Amino acid sequence: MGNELFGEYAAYVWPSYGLTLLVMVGLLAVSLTRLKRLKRDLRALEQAQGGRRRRRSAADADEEA
Amino acid sequence: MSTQAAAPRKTRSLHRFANPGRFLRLADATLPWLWMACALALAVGLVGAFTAPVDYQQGASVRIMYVHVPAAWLAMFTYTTIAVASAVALVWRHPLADLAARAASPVGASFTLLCLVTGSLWGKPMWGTWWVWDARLTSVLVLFFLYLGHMAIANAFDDAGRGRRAAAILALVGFVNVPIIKFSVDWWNTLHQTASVSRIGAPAIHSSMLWPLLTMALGFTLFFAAILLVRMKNELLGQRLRNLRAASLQRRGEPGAAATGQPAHAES
Repeated sequence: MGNELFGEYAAYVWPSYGLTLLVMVGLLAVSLTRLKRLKRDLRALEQAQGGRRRRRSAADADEEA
Repeated sequence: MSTQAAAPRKTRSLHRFANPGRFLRLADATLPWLWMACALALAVGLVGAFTAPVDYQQGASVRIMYVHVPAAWLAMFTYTTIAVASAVALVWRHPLADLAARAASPVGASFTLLCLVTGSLWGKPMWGTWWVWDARLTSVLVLFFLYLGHMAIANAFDDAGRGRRAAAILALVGFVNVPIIKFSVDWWNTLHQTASVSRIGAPAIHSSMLWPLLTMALGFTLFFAAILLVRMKNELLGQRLRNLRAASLQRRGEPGAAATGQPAHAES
């Protein structure tokens, strides 16, 4: 390891590793953020539809009564 | 007789994984292990990459190899995955194969760009130039454009099904570029060196440098597998959300409600 880490090629080596980190973390962040958002939207929509369905079946039951 | 029986059996076994619910359960069970294995491989690979001896000619710039080469392998591996998935989607109309191709495309484009930039960062001190139009570099640049085209064409049609089919055909036609990339250094006189690891006989690279390289390649591949599963989950959930919204609009009697363009999959 030693001095070559900061030697004459450091200006080329470190940007390579930095960019690799950026690409991997970027892909991960974008994908996980989208997953989180989709799960939240799906839950909200399913809850709204479930609520509507419950209200409709309650109204049907009232009409029958 | 046996071949006639084998074809439907193969199709059946492929379609066992077409059920989105089964796929999501399998992905959820697999992902934690994939992420752990990926983190371990990358950690060990990085330690190896920074403790391996420097090259007697290249000096410390050889450390770029530990990210450049795995990125290059992944760029080609991802495109091969897309081509296989596209063939499966076109021939057997497997719905998850389409999703896999779409989910993999931006990942492949990212690693191809990473390969090009890290190669450039190595080329400047070693070759004295950021870029040359040699066969290897040019064919990898073409691969990057193929990825961009694949992503663009999949979303370019109002009818999502047509977009997916056009993207699948592009992926299959573009696959001809993968062997060109691999053998470009043998077929043409290039500035880029010939294969050092995947060649007939022993690798032309010392074991002290080879094991970190292979460990990093394993880490990159596990990362690809894990991120592909996450992105396929995204595609499935997005499809389900669109279908639910369309059904909701249809119940309210709003026009254009059924135009999601997505196949309705059985959710479980």
